Amino acid sequence: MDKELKYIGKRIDRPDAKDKVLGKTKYTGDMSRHGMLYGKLVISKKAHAKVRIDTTKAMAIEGVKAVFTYEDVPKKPYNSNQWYSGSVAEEDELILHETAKHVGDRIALVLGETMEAVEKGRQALIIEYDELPAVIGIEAAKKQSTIVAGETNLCFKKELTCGDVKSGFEKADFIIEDTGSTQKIHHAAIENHVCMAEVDTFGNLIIWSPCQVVFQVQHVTAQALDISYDKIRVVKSYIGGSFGGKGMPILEPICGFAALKTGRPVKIIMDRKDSIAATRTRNASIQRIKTGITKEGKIVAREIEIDFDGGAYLTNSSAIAVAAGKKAFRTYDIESQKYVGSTYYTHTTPGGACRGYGSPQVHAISEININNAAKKIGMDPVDFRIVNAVDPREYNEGAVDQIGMPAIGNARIKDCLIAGKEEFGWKERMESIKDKNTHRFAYGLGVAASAHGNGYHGSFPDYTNVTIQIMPDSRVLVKIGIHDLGCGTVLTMQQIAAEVLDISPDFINVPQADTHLSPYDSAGTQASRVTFVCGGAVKEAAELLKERMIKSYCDAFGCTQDQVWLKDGMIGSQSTEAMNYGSLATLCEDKYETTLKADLEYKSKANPSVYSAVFIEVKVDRYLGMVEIQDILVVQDAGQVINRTLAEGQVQGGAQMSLGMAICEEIIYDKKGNLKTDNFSKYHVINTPSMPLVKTLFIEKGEPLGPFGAKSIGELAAVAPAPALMNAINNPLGTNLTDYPATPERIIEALN
Amino acid sequence: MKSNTFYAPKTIQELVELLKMKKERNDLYLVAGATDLAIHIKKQGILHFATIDLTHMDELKEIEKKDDVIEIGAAVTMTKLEKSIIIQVHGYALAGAAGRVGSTQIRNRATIGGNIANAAHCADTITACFALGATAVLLDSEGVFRELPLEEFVLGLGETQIKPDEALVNIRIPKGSTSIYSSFSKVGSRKNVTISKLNHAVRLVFKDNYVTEAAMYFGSIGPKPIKALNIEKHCIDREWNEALLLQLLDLGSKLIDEAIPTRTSRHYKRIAIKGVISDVFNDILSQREVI
Repeated sequence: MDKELKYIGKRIDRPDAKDKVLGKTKYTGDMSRHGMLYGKLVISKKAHAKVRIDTTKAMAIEGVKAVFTYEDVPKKPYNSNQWYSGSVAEEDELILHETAKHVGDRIALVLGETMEAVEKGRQALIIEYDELPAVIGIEAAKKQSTIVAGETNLCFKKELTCGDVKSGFEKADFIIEDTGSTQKIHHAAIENHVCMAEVDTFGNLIIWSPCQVVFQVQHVTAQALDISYDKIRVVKSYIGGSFGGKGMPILEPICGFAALKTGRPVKIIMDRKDSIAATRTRNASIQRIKTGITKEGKIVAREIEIDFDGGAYLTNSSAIAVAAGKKAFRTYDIESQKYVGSTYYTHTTPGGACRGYGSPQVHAISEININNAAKKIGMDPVDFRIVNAVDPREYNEGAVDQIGMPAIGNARIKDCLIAGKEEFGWKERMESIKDKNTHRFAYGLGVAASAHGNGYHGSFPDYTNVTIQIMPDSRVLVKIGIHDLGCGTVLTMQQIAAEVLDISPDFINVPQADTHLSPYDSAGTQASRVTFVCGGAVKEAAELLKERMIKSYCDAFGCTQDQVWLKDGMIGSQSTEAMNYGSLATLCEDKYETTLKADLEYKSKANPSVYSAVFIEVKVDRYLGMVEIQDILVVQDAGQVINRTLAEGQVQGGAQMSLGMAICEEIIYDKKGNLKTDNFSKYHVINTPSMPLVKTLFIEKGEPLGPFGAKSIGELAAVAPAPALMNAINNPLGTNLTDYPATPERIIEALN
Repeated sequence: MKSNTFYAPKTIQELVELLKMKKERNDLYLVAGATDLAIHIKKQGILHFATIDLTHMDELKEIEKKDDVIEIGAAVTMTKLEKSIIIQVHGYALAGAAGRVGSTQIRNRATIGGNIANAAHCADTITACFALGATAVLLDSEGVFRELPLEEFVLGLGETQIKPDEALVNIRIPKGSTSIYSSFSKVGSRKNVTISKLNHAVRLVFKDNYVTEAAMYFGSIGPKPIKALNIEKHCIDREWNEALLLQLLDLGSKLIDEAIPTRTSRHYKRIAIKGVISDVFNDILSQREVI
């Protein structure tokens, strides 16, 4: 950077942190309206069944206002995964279903004056299930003996290739094959799904939702209820975590329907069981990996085949298979590679985004396979990765990656591996780790690398609109359709605007997305696009505004542009009197009849890769099968960190999710599709006492087209820790655990 | 509207009066920390119920050293048990078990009375109390106390000998001597805030380094903790050393094979039992070293 950064890369506290800690923040669950009705879904207890519901008794209960079933709702199918009108995918969901297709499927909604009346009403429903054969798991789906939808359970298939795989394998001295699986994961946001809807005095349906994409909620609701887009106002409310789980609208269409139907505000709240069963999950997968290497350790060919469990509705079935595949072509320089991704329908909770969107799956087994390849030729797994990792590619317009995607940019995976190896003391640990072993405890080391992206550019429309305006009191209003999911998105935008305009971030207000107030944004807060794309937009708009400010100042005071300076909210020049930004705004209005603002429609210019390397030392109990993480270092290629505290938080939180994927988190169904893990007593996340201190190291070598050189962090953070931990467990035990999670039971089984 | 009546007796007499009422109703729950009750009413969808809160009775919140027993009030919290010097001296296994129940927040509320009266098969304090030879003291609606061995009181999964008009008011454990040692260990799905897949408690009496009496229990492998007769017997007159540990590990696996021959969890638990046996063995070893 030419100039020293004032706000970028610094540790700045989140403005909303204090209220959240004190419990003052009003989440959707805390919102109330005069005359508001409470609602709760009734979800199917059977995986596949025709449902009959007798509502008579429930309706007779005092305080029960309405019970809606399939009979009452519009029969207009929609696909909750559609985030804009052009995303074409089959529409196969209704807001309530007659035939339940998974445990957790929406079959009724009870509305009441109080939560208690709703509970009573739910208990008084007489629900009969005519059970139908259920398809549980990918293997069952592939048998095709029962078809979930359409003509085949295979709902999507995609092949991506580069080079010539057949001749690539012919060049190999060794071929290393592995099979493995990853599980369905629940997002475990602390706030369960919730939504409030009301109709305003102008007849607009207002939906308050802790969501990731207000325009997607608007689109899906318009489809589901067959009402006009412009009459649906979606306001993003405070959110208690999403991790992808609140990406697709689940409650919004039905909440809107209930508000319109009853003419009263309606708030629908889920409990944990609903959130696990009735929303979305990370797609489970079964994988086959085949890697060809030379005896010197160069990967010459690779084949990755992944079957995904898409769940009962189409939702993200195609996107997950494609997104996962793309990441296989980004970390290592492999001349010939083939990826085949297939998604199958099953009678389980539909798949959806879950922090990493395919990356956690595609790296899960392949990174174990990479270790096995290194082992085959007796090479250190870190060195093996360094030998094969891609080099940074100087950015040039139109450059493409191996499979025709936008260029990977300033790819710093080698730096991550080299710096991490040094920082972690990998070599020294490798030499002495065995000395720690006892009869009962085994100590091991693991490493893994991973790649992720920066938005939709190259695949889907990826642009956003932004307006930045200077207010008369020198404060700055930034209008952009962003959703802070707890990651600190708002503060990130504040810091970017602050850096350009040279004014404290405290003076910058970035309201969150509201379809009726925020300018249109094409893709929402997802796909690791916000810092890179929306941050890029804010930066460019702020620069435009700064140019206007300088020009206006010059016009007013008759100085030249090179004489003008902006500092700490003041604008001035060598020869003229300084004034604050607010006074300049007033001057512009008075003198030039114009608003001191800048408008911009910003199209993403690139979609570079981001990379991480994770190093772990672990202690495994050979009796209990328990895994204790002794040390973990995460190195991320961040381009440029915007807020150091938030960046570390993202990496540490991501590690918590990923490590949980490796050893304990799993949504389990029995053969009939009954959900066995419907609460946190049975669905195990890594909790605080078991969570190690996650050390972080950022490689900051700048991404040419990112704001101040920044690129994505948060999703990538949830990818490599899992395979690194698996490798660390396999290392001392001599096992080849490739089925996630490596629970104590599975570890003991592998050992005995 | 909700009609949940809440009674908070302060004395034994007031409790007796309430027990008379409880005899006539089936919607009246005795409650202390409510960590089990809250889950129960949610799971069962119970909307109308009343509670008798035992946490306002000072005498149920004390741990007292009597002539030959330690008397623990039913409303003593896990935190208090864990930190009590009396319990650490006379019932170390119970302090250990209490310290590993749930989270800090749960331990601050959950009580020994609740843990025992709810009689979950995985209840940690029950295994410890069995090993320590504890008794249960019950009070009925006539104001009569009765005492019975805890092993008899706990019948099985969620079942005890408690009658509708009775309240569990005390747990008594025999006072230890300096030659008595006890210990507890467990394994769940994770290290902390976890429900036992298997737990283990022992009480041993030593003469020099030789075991003269042994009580050894394993919980969470049956409806209530199992007394490991073979392992107990094996310890008698043997020295507490590594050689014995190796024998105990094998005996432990055998115990699991016999206790749950057909369950799929057998494969894991027959190995995991070596972990809890080792933990307890080493704990006893270090307790003895300190002295």
